[in-house]
Amino acid sequence: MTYLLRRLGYIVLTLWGLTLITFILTRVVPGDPARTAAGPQARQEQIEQVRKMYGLDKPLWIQYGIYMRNLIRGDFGKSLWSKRPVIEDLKAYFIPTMELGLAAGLMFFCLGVPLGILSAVYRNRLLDHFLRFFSLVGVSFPVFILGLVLQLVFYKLLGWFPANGRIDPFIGPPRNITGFYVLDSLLAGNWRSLLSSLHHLFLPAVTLAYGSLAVVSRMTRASLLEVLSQDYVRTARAKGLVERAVLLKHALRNALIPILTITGLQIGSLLGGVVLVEIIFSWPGLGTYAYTAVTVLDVNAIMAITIVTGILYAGINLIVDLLYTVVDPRIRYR
Amino acid sequence: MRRTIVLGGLVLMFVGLIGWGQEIPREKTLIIATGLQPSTLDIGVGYEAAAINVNLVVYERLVRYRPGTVEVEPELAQSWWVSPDGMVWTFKLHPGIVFHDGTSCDAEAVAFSFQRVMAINLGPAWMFEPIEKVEAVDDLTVQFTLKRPYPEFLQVLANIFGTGIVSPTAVKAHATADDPWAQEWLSTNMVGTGPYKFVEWVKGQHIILRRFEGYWRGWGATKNNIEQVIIRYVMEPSVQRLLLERGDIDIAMDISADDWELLKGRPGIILVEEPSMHATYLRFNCAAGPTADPRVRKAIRAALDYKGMIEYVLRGHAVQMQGPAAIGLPCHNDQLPLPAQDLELARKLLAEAGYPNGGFTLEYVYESGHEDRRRVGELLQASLSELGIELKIIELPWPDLWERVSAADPERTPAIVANGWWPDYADVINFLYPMYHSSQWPPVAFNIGFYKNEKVDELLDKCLVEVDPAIRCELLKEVQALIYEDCPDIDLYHLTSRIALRDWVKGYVYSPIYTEGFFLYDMWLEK
Repeated sequence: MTYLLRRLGYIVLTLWGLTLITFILTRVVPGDPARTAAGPQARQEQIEQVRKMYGLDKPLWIQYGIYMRNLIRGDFGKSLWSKRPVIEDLKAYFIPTMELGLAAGLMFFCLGVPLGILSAVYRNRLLDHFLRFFSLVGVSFPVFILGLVLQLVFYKLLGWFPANGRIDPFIGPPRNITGFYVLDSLLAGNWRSLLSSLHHLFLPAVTLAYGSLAVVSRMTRASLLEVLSQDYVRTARAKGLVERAVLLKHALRNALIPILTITGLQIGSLLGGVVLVEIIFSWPGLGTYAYTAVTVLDVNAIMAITIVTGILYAGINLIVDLLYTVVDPRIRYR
Repeated sequence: MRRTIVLGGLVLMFVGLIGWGQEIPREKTLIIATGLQPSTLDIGVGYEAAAINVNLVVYERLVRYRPGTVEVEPELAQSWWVSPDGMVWTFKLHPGIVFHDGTSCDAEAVAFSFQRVMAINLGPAWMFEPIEKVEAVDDLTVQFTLKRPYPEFLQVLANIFGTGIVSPTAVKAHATADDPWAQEWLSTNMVGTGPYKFVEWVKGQHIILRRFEGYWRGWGATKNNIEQVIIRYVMEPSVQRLLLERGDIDIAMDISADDWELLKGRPGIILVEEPSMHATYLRFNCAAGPTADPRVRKAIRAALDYKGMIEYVLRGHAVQMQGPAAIGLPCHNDQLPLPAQDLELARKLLAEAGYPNGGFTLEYVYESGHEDRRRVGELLQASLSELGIELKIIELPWPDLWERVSAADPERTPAIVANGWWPDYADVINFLYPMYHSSQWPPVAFNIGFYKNEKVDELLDKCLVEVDPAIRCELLKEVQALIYEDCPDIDLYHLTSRIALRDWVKGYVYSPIYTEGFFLYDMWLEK
């Protein structure tokens, strides 16, 4: 418990550092946010009006103070681009990214580990060669090419899956409860929107997950093979345990630590790959929002995106560290 | 076995439910794909091409551009007259116009909409700066009193930004003490008088519009059968092509040059390519460095390979510019020469300027994302190296580029900036004044090369208030000739506007000013 509190304290500290650095960076890069927000033909007096409206006329440290005071109240300020509260835009764009990321995460973990186990069990046999080739392709295939190929095959040629968007516009999104279309459809008992959102989720999630799936399955294979050659596995087998028990109870549990580590890292890297996938599949997520925010120098939006992504990273790290203790009871944090 | 049955059942249910029971059928829905999503739907704030498609059909203006032309015709106003001194403009509205919220659109509503834009004072407000006051004379008569004669006023009223008439009832219903003009609400909602009403905007995905049955022109006399319009935001152009080929969308706004070639002659698909009024320039720094000498500027103008530029760099998807204003606008000077590559002339001019062997380096700056401008830079670089001039090509994101060119110090301005210009309304002064009048030097506005010619300033000042169209036109043509002679920039090209449609979409007419827009009232589907 004290460990957890200490870790949370560190996270708060890290995030505070993050806000400070991002704040300074967004203010010192060339370009005038007020000018961009006022519009290309704005007169000087209009630009000054915008500058005042967003508090950009005050000294930097006062701006930062005001920002932090508002942030603690959960107020991210107003977007200079859309002129709406940033939190409104963030709600609209963050949840789709989370939905896609979670689907991809589930997909690569739930498929990657079993495939790795199969690969290890059938080491150097045909199945293993095939799975290793499959992973090699996954690791070496750039995300955007994979996305386009999947669209060509599954949308254009076969017509099995839609090429873009989160849901069929004719069906429309389910009633907004959490913002996750799959979850909201389930909660509302709306089968049409559930199926349509799953249908739309599939190709982008596969595109995003494939690379990580390959990495996780290879790591599982390597880690499991190492454990399988240990003495205690030989002992277990010598006791006459069935192979399944040896594999899942004795070997896999001990092989899980590196797999967890790599999974945590891969979830992090998903956040990087998500921008490309979002563009290819017109997935209305944080990646495209962040891209626009940076190009128009929407300082408040950039800050908000950085903070939210920071919280996400820190959270994933913490969860992975806590899972270590579950997997290996010898690990104790103090 | 049981598992297979369950799985099979699930798949069947899945497939069955996907295309099940739609409220408005696909045959009565027009689906447009575009990569450009507006930042706001507020007609009083938005100032970007991305909002044109919705603004054109949800809102209506007093006057508009007749489809396919740059001529102004009535829209909400049935007639108008102007006082002889050009200071008072009076508009008579059509009777019986209603907003989508059911309230009546009268002269008060028109005055209110303009007062709102001017009070918010963002984006498009600069165009209404000469308005002293706007008021309702009676129910159907609205009157604008100006601070000075404003010869292009009618053109300004026909432009798409800030001119749409919005329901005052809706604005007042959503106004708060902090937000008296309901900007927050109107940034995601629209209430106009147009043939289509706003239904929803799912950010990043789509905007849905539905036919407004109470539209004041009525639906009886049209072939229009489009009950619903879905504007889908599809960022990747190659995906737009796939969607168009399978018929999942009816119109694709962003087809890449490669895909354009592939789609040519494809059955069921119509490609519409029209020269746009978007102009691309290379703007010289006229106040510092070697380009301060007009002979050097003209030498560089003579060095560029224009034929190669249009044919190879732009693959034919552009038209060479003639002078500093867009071809096709009223009062464009079509007597000006089209520059062509002439390296001998370039060498001669350089020698006269004291650089017989070149021997200097110039910076060429362009905005990230504009591949055409990078490739034009490379073309120019090759030609200039033959003259002994080194061209350093620099790519900058827009805010950085703007920072460099909006400084009041010419020493900081790059020698050449590749830059684009789009007219808001069909008047060449919209090109000439902001880019060539010396009062518009940075940091004020867009005369980013610090160009100054007193004669040009004088003539432009006259054009601002000259109410006789014929005299004004002559003055504007003279200004264009003077600017061409001084060569403050190289007038490069007008990119073409490319739109791909399925052949069942009928009645589409390209608009040179509302380029991204569709006159949906006059369109229909034949499926």
